[in-house]
Formats: sequence, structure tokens, C-alpha cells
Amino acid sequence: MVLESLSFTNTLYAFDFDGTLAKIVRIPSEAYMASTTEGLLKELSSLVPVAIVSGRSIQDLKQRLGFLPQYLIGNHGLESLENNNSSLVEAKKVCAAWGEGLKKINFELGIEIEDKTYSIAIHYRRSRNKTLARKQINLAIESLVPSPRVIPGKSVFNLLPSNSPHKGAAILDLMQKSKTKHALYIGDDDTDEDVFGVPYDEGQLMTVRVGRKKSSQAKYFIEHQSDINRLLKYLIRFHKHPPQTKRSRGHR
Amino acid sequence: MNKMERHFISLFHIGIAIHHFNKHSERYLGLSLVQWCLLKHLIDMPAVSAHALAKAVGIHPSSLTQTLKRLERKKYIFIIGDPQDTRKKVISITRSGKDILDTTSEKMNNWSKGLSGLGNELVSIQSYLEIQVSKGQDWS
Repeated sequence: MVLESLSFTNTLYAFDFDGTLAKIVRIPSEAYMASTTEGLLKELSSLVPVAIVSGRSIQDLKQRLGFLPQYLIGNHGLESLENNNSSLVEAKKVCAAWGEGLKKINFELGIEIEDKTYSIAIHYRRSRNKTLARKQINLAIESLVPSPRVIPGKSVFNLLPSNSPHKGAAILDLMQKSKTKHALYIGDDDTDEDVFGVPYDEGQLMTVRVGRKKSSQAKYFIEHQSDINRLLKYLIRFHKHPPQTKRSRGHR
Repeated sequence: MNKMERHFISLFHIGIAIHHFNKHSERYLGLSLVQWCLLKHLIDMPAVSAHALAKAVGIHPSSLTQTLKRLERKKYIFIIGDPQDTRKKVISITRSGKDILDTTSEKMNNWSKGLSGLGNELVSIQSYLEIQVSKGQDWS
């Protein structure tokens, strides 16, 4: 019912990709959106402004989507479809230097470095000794110049230039661009806390986390990633076929 | 009765007239002016606390309680516990609430045409009364 109230006003519906629209997988490059989810998202996108806000690069995201929603944000808020600003040039330069530095380190087996052009992700999902992997990655991060902004995720450390915008700033920017008064954001990860914690007028940013976590600043939760289809179906129904009340059916 | 006293008598009658208008509006349209005003704010404030709603409307939160209860009984709003703070409540407008608001807004818009020439005077009266209330020391 809370969701339905969003359909009475201009709302932007924004989603994280991994762990929200797509299941988390052992090998990040194998993540994809289930065809049902994609179909539902496409349908929602034909009714209301929809955004995908991900840590992946836009190029990577595009390859995983069978359609393009109105808004696509990559690299944790740094990259959008239309931006070509100087911060991207600077981020590219910094990430290239970090990439060179990280290549020289002899990492544990199972640690993978993903160069996303404007940010770097160090995955350790496949590492057998995760504690050791985290320790090694932290030491490697400390050696980087300039110091990156580190966003820890699920078995991943995301490294971004320290002054780069985050997902929260990207959502506020999208609300302006889409001329929407409200936004619903659904994410599953610590990287999404940048959105969950945005200081915004009460009720204007509705945040949903996939999976309960006590320390999360998200207002609402859905238990599992698989619940996303049900949520999308509700949103479509509210916008497409609003449930008729007694009054609107004409029996007073 | 002097001119000043006549103004206050007029204000008293306006208060009575608004009270009757409210009762009449609730009986025949299903919404009083206060209820309509709250729903109108709730449309733009999905899932909001009573405190934030009261602030937006410009009244004290305790003055909202009864109106919110009436709206909830009519199923025009629903009130649930705030998932982040169980001491707080979250208020949202329902589909029935949206429907009744659409219906009454049409009527209200028609009526407001009759008040269109009075826009500035209404604002002046409101401002004057609010200023008097805010000057607490002048009442003693």
C-alpha cells in the first residue's frame, strides 16, 4: 500500500543491478537479469521513469540489458549516459595509475581486479581464505596514490577517485532531470547505503534493501532478490490498472 | 458596537460559517475542508510521519490525531508503524483516498471560483490572526 501511494505522484523508480535486478553470482561477468525481470522492468519503463544505478560501467550494463531504460548510471554514480565531463577524464587517469600499481602486487588466488575504466573493483568472492584476501586487499589499497574512496560490497572492494559523486548524488541528480518529486530506490549492498542515507525530505525518497540488515539505513526491506519480480508486478499494476475502489466503480 | 468590535464579530461569524461548511462538506462530499487539506498534502508526501505532515500543513501534531483517525476509519489513509522506529507511525494515502480527493477537488475548484476575488483579503486575515497569536506577550 505504501508503494501504491507513490503511483499518485511523479516518481522515479531506480534499481541497483547486481543482487537486485540480477542474482549475485560467483563470477561477476556471468551476472544477468532473468528474462521475466527484464520483461517486467521494460514494461514499467514504458509507464514511468526508470533508472538502473550500478557499480558496473555503462558499457558493461548495456551488454546485459535487452533494452535501455530512460536513465543508466554506472560506476557508482560517476558515469551517466549523457555525461562527458572532466571528472571522467580525471577518474580514467587515476584508475589507470591504480591499475598499474595493483598489477604489480602478487595477490592470493581468487582475487580478481576488474578495471571499469572510471573505477576499479577488487573481487575476492572466489578466494578460499576471505580473511586473508581482505587483509591483502586492504594493504594494497593503502599503497595507492592518490588514496581512493573505498566502497566495500559483497566480496568486493570498489575503488573510486576520492572526489567522485556517489549513488546518492546520482539519484538526486536524476530526480531533477526526470522532473520527479519522489524516488523509490532498491538496492542490496553497502554501496547502496549512499542512497539509503541521503538526507532528503521525509517521504520523498523511499528506500528498499534486498535482504534485512539491522545497520542499514534503508526504510523498507524485501527478503530475497527473487521478490523483485513481485515488486515490479505491483508497480506495473498500480500504474497500469489501478485497483478499482467501490467509489470509482460507481456503487456509493 | 464600534467598528473594531464589528470586525471581531465578523471573524467570529466566519469561524462559525467555516465550521458549518466543514460539517456540510463532510456529510455530502465525504470530506471536510481539514480532511481534504490533509489528503491534498499526503498526495505529495507518500509515507510520511504525523510530525512531518503537521509541519507541512502548518498545525500542531496533536491537532491532527482526531482527523487522521477519522480518515483512517473511512479507509482514505492507512497508518503503519515506521519500520525504522517502532515509536513512530507512517501515514499514506490509499486508492480510495485518492479517488475521493479527485472527486472533491473538482467541486472545491468550482467553489473556489466564488472566492477568487477574495484571494488577497483571505491571506490578509490569515496573516493578521497568525501574527496576533504569535505575539504571545500581548495577550496578557
